[in-house]
Amino acid sequence: MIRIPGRSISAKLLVVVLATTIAALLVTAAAMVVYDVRTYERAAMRDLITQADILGRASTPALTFDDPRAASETLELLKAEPDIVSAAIYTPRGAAFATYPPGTHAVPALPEPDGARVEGRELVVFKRVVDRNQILGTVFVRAHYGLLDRMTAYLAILGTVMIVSLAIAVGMSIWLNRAVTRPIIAISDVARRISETRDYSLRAQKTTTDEVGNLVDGFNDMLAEITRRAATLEDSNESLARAEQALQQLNTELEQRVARRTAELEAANREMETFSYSVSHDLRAPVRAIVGFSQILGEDHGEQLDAEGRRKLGIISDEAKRMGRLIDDLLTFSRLGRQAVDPIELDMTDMARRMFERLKMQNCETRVELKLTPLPSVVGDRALLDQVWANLVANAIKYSAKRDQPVVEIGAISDEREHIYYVRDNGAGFDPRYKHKLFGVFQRLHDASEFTGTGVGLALVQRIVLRHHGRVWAEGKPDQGASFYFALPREAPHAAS
Amino acid sequence: MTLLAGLLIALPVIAADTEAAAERRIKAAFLVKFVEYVEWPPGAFTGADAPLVIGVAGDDAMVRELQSMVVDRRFGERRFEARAVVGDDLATHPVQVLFVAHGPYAPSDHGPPMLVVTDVPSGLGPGATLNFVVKDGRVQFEASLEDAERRHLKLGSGLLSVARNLRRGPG
Repeated sequence: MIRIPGRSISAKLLVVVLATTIAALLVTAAAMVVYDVRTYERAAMRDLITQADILGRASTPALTFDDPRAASETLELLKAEPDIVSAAIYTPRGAAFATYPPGTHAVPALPEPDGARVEGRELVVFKRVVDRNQILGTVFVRAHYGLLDRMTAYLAILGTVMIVSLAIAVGMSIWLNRAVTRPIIAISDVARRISETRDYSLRAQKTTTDEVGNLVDGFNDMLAEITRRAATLEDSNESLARAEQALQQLNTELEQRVARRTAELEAANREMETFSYSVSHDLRAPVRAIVGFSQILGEDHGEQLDAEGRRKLGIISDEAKRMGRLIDDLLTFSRLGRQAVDPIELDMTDMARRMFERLKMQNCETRVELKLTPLPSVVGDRALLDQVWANLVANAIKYSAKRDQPVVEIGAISDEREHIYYVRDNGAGFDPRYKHKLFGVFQRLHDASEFTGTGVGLALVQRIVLRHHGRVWAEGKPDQGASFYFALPREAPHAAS
Repeated sequence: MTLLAGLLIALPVIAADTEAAAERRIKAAFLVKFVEYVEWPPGAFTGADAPLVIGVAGDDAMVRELQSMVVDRRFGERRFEARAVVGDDLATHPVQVLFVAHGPYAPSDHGPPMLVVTDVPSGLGPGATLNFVVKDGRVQFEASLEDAERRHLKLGSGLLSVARNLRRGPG
């Protein structure tokens, strides 16, 4: 795109008008000059040829009757024509017959064929004198050719015309400019005011029905649209804010409700545990009485009973003792829910080894072999994690005791988040279909007659590990041993519940 | 000798001719050309297609010269004819141009409209319209408007412009 100099539209329009005018004038002037030069040259030549022809006709008798004096007199008439520099009449044989001015040597020695040409600043014409198909001679005329003078005058006139035209063009374009640019400047003003004041209620005034008028309409429509959009935007912003507020309120309410429910649940839980504790506690006394009195009955009145009676009394005593153990375990389990966790750094290797040795002695299982790899230490409650080791190691010893070569393997695997401890045995194993039942309270996969136990141990283990923010799981197959895993986080989280 | 020299300057091509023949040839050419500058009255010719007759008195060589010169020439639609004038046959056979070779013209008749050309070195005599003179070696001629008027002839301005010693009429 062409860049037109000038900062305002008026200035640019003025430049356009001036450029157009100058271009038009120059082209016109050039065309006129070219046309005039050609016309002038043709006219001048034609005039001179005519002049020569007249001279020839006037000299016909002189040539006919061989009278140079008469011819000279004819040429003398050229004095009236100051542009004619020199002239001559030649005989048919090419000799100079008469010359003008008389006696001059500034004429060609020999005539040339008919023709006219420009020689420097002079025009030269040769013209045959013919009378009744007979060539009588040749006329030569040399005239001053005033083209340059004429051009100078011409250009002066053109220059004057150009200056006057330009002045008129400037005046007219300034006058017309106002009509064209005033509406545009009005829009520009409104646009500037809007960008300064941000007042979108301003409108440009429509004064014309041309493109500028369309521009004004479009501009005003746009302003209306902006106003409308701004209002819509504000509305939607407001409703959004309202929605957000409502959501926040809802959230707060929800949190409050959750907190309330949690508190209620915790209370209910506590109540239930208290209830189960007190029930268990209260059950202990009658069970102890049964055990005690069955013992006293056996000691004091054993002789009065036959063998069958004594056997049945033994069963009563054993079952009562078992019930007592059940109640104890339940109490322990229940107590765990309320007992606070006291985390300290623990040497898990030492704890596992000590627990294994103790349980081995307790159960008189001297054949069991321990394979212990060093375990990473962890932060946790010593009493609770001792309970975990106790249960898992006891289970491992118990279920592998029937093997010829019972082996208990204790180890650990660590990743960046947690330590995974495991206790593996080569004992009875379990059916993996039931492994989800392993960690439930009173859930047993084996008959009590086969392996002793109350079914609370693994539930305890799970509860303790969960309170340490860990997890437990098991793998196993019937008669192929079992592996029990518990994972504890490397960084013990605070606020143990 | 002066005459010869003048002829040599004027028409060098005929320098081989005898001086008299050269002069005669020029005069013959002039006679033929005079016709073009002269206007005869309507009754001067016997008919619309009658030839223009140039009569020569006293110079048979001139007759031959003229005859050879006008073979292909036309005056308007008319042919040229040249003949010798003998005695008084002008009355019966009129001519339009009469060249009197020697001496001044002695008119027996003043009426007929014919161009009378004489060749008298001393100048125009009575009854002659034109008269040849040789000056500075050039053949020139004198003209008498008075005689032309009397014979109801009109002489062209071109002819008069080159004529020496133009004698005007009484008017």
